[in-house]
Amino acid sequence: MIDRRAALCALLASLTCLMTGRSDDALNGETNLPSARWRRPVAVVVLDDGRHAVVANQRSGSLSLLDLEAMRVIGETQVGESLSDVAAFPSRTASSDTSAPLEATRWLACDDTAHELLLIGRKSDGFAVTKRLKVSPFPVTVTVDSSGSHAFVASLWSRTISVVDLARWQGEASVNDSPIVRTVRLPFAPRAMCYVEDSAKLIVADAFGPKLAVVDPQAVRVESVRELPAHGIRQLRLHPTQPRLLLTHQMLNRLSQTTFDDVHWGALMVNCFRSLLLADVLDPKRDLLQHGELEYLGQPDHGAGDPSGFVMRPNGSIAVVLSGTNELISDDGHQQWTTRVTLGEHPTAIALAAEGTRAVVVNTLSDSVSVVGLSQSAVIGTIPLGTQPELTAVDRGERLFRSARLSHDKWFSCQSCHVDGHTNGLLNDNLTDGSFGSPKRVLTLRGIADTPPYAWTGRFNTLADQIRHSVRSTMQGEPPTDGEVNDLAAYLRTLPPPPGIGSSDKAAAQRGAALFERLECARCHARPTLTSDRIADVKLKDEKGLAKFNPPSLRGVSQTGPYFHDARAASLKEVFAKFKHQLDRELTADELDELVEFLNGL
Amino acid sequence: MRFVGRISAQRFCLPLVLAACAPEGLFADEPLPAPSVSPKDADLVATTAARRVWSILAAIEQSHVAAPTRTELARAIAVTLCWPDEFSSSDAVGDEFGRCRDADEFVALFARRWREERRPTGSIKQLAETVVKTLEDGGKWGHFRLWTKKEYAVQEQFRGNRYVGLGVGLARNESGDALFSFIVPGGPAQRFGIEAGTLIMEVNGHSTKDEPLEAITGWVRGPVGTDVKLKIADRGRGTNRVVTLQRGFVRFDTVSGFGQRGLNFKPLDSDSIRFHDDLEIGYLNFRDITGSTLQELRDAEVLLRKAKVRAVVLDFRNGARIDTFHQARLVADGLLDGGTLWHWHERDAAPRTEMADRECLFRGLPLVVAVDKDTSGPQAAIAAALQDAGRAVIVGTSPAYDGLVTTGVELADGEHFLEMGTAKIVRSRADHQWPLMPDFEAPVLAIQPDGSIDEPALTVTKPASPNQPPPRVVIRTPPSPTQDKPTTTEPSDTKPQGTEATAVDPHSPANPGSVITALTDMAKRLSQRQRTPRPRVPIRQDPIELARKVIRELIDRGSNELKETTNRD
Repeated sequence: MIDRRAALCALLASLTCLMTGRSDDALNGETNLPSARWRRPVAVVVLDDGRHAVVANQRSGSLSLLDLEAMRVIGETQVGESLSDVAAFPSRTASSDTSAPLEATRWLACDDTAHELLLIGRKSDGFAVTKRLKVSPFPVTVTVDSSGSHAFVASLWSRTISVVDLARWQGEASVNDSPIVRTVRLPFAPRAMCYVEDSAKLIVADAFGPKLAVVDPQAVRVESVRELPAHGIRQLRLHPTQPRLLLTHQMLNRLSQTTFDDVHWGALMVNCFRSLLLADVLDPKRDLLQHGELEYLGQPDHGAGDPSGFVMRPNGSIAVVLSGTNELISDDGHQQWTTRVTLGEHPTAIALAAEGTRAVVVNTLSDSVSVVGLSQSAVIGTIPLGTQPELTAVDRGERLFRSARLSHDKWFSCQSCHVDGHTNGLLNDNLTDGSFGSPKRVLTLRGIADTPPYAWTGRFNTLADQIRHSVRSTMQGEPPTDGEVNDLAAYLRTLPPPPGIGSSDKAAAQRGAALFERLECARCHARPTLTSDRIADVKLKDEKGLAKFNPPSLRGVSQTGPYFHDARAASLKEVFAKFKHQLDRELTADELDELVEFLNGL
Repeated sequence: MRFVGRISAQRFCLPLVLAACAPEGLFADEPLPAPSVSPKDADLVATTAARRVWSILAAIEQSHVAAPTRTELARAIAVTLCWPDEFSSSDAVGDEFGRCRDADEFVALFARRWREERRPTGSIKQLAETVVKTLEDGGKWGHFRLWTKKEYAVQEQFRGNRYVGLGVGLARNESGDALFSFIVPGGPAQRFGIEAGTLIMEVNGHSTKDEPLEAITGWVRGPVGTDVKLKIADRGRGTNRVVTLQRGFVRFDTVSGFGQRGLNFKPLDSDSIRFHDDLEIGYLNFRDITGSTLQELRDAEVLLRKAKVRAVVLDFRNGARIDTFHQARLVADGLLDGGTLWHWHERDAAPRTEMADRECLFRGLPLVVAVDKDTSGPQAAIAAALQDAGRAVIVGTSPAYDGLVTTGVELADGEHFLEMGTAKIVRSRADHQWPLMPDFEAPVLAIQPDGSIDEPALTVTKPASPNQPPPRVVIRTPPSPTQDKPTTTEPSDTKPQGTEATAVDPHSPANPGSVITALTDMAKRLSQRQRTPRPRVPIRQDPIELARKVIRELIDRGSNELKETTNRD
């Protein structure tokens, strides 16, 4: 039996000798980490001892080790190019020895730039990557089953779930024996996941829009894909004691209008905490919502923009991170969401510590971690992860983009509809098209730097004009200053087009490209941006009789469904097969497949 | 969870507040020139009058969903413009005006007719209102109402439940002094500590002596957050003092509970949310349908779920002018679990089908909606959408609503808004037309405006002391008519003959949870009674059937029979 205190002291001693000795500089585990840099924490795991936490930093690609009682970083190691998630699982060798949790734990981290899953262990001087595994591009979340035998990795733009056999991976397997034992393709870009042990099913949420899938990872099968009135589903968790699924999300009502009244009274966008009966989720024949419970966070005069991570305490009360308002909101156990605690800039992920009396929240844009005492509803301490650089225009612009203070009463942010700069795929009735009564699909903002004019009608020639209109009219916010508009534009210009899902059949894609040329699609969707500044009549009319639209860019078009201004086409196939978009003849089945293959590769 | 700043206002005060909030200058309107006035002077006023009439007709011609022609409109209002003489009928006069191609021709014709013919007197405002009233009274094109821009802005504030002011009512006492006749609970004046009866001597330095109340109201109103300086004398004190108040939002609840209609009601709570604390039926009374209604329903749901109600009654027996169709759309959407709300037909646009999403308030709870002739258009539209979707049972008497959606259209003069029909709602079920026909037709007499139940159909007797037996629920059922008697509904002040009373002890061990069981049994017995031959509504063991029977008993105040219609199924 290892003496626990001795082990921890030894650990701390070995880690502290890595400190550079400057008390205001959080530690660099490796000497190649510069001192002032953005870390951008996005995920946190609290160890079983309740005293230590591991934070994954996206920008620096590092893991930070925190001492929650001493309230400081005690180690940091760069492990990858950029990290999107981290999960812990018990090491095979340590079995049930929980007396030294740091020793006993192994880590999995997703690197969404190198497109790898990292197997990380502890070394005497910090963390060390034991293995790297190529996974489907853009892994964003990883979750592990309770026995630690399998890990599930959700890859965003490639729309896959990879099932990794951890035993095989950790063992000395031959090169031909890939630890990725199964890959499941999804009809949407996944993010939040939740593994249900009893039924060995994986519940996966759409990163952007309203879909929820149940996946059987053993059988490599998507059992069901359903929709609920939701978007921006940021976290899924199982209820600790009841057979229920818990989630946070927003709801955008397409019948509402972007008027002051509808925004003020929570009729346009609401921020929600929802609980569903697990049996209703897992059985596709049951009504998903029939035993659901919905709670509205926020209220008129006091919005609760962008609910994100959440935790349920042992006493049943819930704390939800509001990324848009920089707060933690909690209920009293009786659906009264009255308590708010102010955190750092754009908090996102949260974990419980100290037997559920404390919460640890990462502040993604201020590079810090807030430790909140849940009973006293107060921040006990804020742990800076490192020295922050000066804010650039792009940094300021991102803060504005993700902040609900741009909207009236902080009901929502730009991020709410344009999730992560993309789109929730839903309809919104605003005045960009000049009237109410004809809701239009939210456009992606990715790749808009070089594709003016903006909006479905091409109404705005500059990004600044579009931004001013969106903040004032759509968000009913105060008019932004010129500086704010410039910052937002600077940030938006950094967003690349969404990566397409890729074509699996290159030959077919080439034939599709040729067909694209022959059909003269480039008249509106011209290279290199695959759009133009035309305002064209393509035989589509909205409810108000508007018939001319600016063609959207086709870069990443496989990620921007549903299609057309009113989302009438559910898929690229429907664009041509059902709506015969700009076709004077029917396409053959082969032509249709080839064209879609080509478009998927854009 | 309640929304911050929500105030319960007294029902009666709303029309007063509406009146009191008319801006200054409303009635300061030019009189139409007398015949003796010189043509030149008369022309200026006549021109203004003519332009206003023209802008009214032009707005209707452009925006009204029925697309009336200018000639039709002109004919309809010809008698208001100038009286026909023996040489020209009103149709001929109307045609003459209808042939005017633009505003200038119209104005010239009007001025000429004015000089030549007998013409109405009054003010420009009165002429415009007469024109509008004549159009409405004609009945062909539905409802019309003319507002000045300022008045309309106030209406829009009420519609969004964002009225800005001090939350006061103004009146004059017998001595002619201006005073605050009432103070809206929770408004800026009340928060400051002003009491009803306080005399107002000055507003922002203006003396209130001899000023019309509307003018004083105009001084009191202003943008939110701005200051108003008042010189007041508290009632009973001789001294004056100067206070500075900040204009703020004054919120009016639109949803109230049982027993809360009328003058004094409190916010919704676990008692008022239900018919009575012995019953498992929730009750919500809709005073208005405004911007806050959906949010209030979300808050109410939290209370209803905690109270574990098994059905909800929505009382739509109010005709509130500030109800809006857009908010009705959102409330109907909130109450429906997917499906079609209705088809919306606007002029110059393709009809669009409006679909509800799956956010559904009171999911799983049967709904019963009470309507009568006072039910407003937006409320009737909600009731119709619920009926068509099978989501609610409608009881009461038919509202007159015909499916016309009225919204305000700005006139070309930039000074006025004209409310008119700009769209039509076509019901989602093709076999359902307007007017809305209740599923159970009965005069809704049992629930009085103050919330009491007269000649109660359902009473609960509370024990005077803990030693007495627990409350009994007494249900009166209507007597069944004989087979060949025609069905009539005769209100009666005396207890109807042959009334049955079934006493049920809700706490008796023999009937665990048995209020509902007893009612179900009674419902079955009722359905088995012989009635005059009529299509029978099948009775199923179905919660909505149960709610139907419960509400039927509750609203029956002694009418001998309920007429069952079979709109559904």
